Amino acid sequence: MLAAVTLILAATTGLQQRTDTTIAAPPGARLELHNLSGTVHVGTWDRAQVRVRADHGSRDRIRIEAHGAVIRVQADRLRGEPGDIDYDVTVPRTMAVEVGGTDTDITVESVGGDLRVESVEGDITIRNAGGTVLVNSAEGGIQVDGGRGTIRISGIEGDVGISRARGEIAVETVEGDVTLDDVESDNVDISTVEGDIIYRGTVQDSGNYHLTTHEGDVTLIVAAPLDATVSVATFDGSFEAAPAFGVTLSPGRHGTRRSFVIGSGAARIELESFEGAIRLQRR
Amino acid sequence: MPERDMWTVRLSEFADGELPDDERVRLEAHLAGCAQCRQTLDELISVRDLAGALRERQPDRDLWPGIAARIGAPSPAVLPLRRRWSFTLPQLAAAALLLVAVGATGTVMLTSHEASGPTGATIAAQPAAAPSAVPAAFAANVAYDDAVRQLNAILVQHRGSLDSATVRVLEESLATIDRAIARARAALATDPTDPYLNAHLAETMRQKVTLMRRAAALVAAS
Repeated sequence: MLAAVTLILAATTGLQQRTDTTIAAPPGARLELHNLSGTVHVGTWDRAQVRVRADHGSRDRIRIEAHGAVIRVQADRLRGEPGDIDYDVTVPRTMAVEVGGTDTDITVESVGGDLRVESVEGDITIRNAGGTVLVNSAEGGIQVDGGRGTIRISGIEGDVGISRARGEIAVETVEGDVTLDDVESDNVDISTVEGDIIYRGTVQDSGNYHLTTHEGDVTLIVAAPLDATVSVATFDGSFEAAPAFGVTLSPGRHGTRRSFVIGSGAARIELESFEGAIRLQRR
Repeated sequence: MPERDMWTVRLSEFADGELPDDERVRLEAHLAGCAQCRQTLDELISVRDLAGALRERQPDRDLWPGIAARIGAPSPAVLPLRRRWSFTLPQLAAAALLLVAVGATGTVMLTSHEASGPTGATIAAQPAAAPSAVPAAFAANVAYDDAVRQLNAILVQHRGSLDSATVRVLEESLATIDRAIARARAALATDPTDPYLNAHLAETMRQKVTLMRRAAALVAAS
C-alpha cells in the first residue's frame, strides 16, 4: 500500500515543473498577472527587475512578456486550459500591480504602486500596500492589513477585514461581515446586505463615516470623548450607546432616522441597519 | 490568459469611460477584431443607457427641506451625505437620491407592485412638485426593471459558462438582496413617507443591479 502511494506521488511530482525567470522592469512599469487556478504571491525588492517563479504542470507554458510599460505574465498550453499554477513573483517596490484569478488564492505584500486584485474564488490577502488598493472578489475572504492609500473593496460572499489602514475606505459586499480594526481614516463607507459591520478606530473631526447593513448589526467602537454628529436609522432594529457618550434616545416609531450631536459635532457618522442592532461603544 | 479574457473584464469600465487613456486605446484596438467583446460591450452600454434616462428627469425643486421639517429629520445642509463610493451604475445612485427627494411619491410607485396605493400625506403637502416627481419616480422604476430584465437575460443566456459554485453564490446573493428588497417594500407599505426606508430600498435596488452587472461581467470573462 505504501509503495503504491509512493509511486502515485512520484508520478504526480514528475509532471510538475518550475519556471524561474527574471526580466528588467522599466521605470513606471506595471505588472499584469492572471492565474486561472492555484496561488499567487507577490512580494517586492529593491531591484528594477521582475522575477517570476512558477510551479506548474509540464504541459503549461509560462509566458512573460513586456509590452511597453506593461509586463504581462500568463500561462497557456497547447490544448485546453492551464492547470493549477503557484506563482511567486517579486517586483520593484514602487511597481503598480494587477493580479487576476478565477480559482486562486492571492497574497500581495508591500507593493508601493497602485494595486488591483480580482478573483472569482479564493482568498485575497494584501499587506502594507502603499498606493490605491482595488479588490474585486466573488467568493473568498479578503484581508487588507496596513496601507496608506485609498482602499476600495467589492465582494459578494466572504468576509472582509481591514486593519491598520490610513486612507479612505469603501467596501461593498452582499453576504459577508466587514470588520475594520485600528483604522485611522477620514472617509469610510461600508455597505453590506446580510453581514455585520464592526468599526474599531479613530473618528477624525473632518471625517465622514457611513456604515449600513440590512440584516446585520453595526458596531462602532471609538474613543471617548467624541466630537461627532451621529445619524442612526433602523426599521426593526435597536440602538444602544455606551454611557460615556451621554446619548439617550427615546423609543421611536419604526423607520425613524434620528440624529444627535456629541461634543462639537465635527465628524459626520451615519449608522444604518434595517433590522439589526446598532451599537456605539467606547474603545 | 487569452486576449479576449484580458479585456472582457474591463469592458464595464470602458463603457463608463473610466479606463486610463493607454488602456482605452489598447481596448479599442482589441474591439476592432473581437466580435464577442463588441457584443458584450453593446449589452453593457444598452443597460447603462436605460438607466441613463433618469438623468433627464429631475424634480422642479428640492423637496427634502419640506419633508425633513415634517418628520423632524436633519437637513442635508447640516448633515451632508458625502458618499465617495464610485458606483458602477451612477444613474441608479442618482435614482436613489431622487427617490428620497420625491418621498412619498416615489414610494407609491415603488410599492405599487405589492400594495395598494398609500394615501401619501406628504404628497399633498408638496403640490407644486408632485406632478414632476411622479414621472421621475416612475422613470426610476422603469429603468430599474429594464436594467434587471436585460441583465437577467444576459445571465440566463451565459450561465452555463460559469462554474456551478459561482452560480450558486450569485443566486444565493441575489436571493438575499431580493429578500431585503421585499422587506424594505413591506416596510414602506406601513410607512410610505419615511425617507430612510425610501433611501434604503433605492440603495438595495442599486446593489442588486450592481451585483447583476458584476455577474454579467463574470460570464463575459469566463
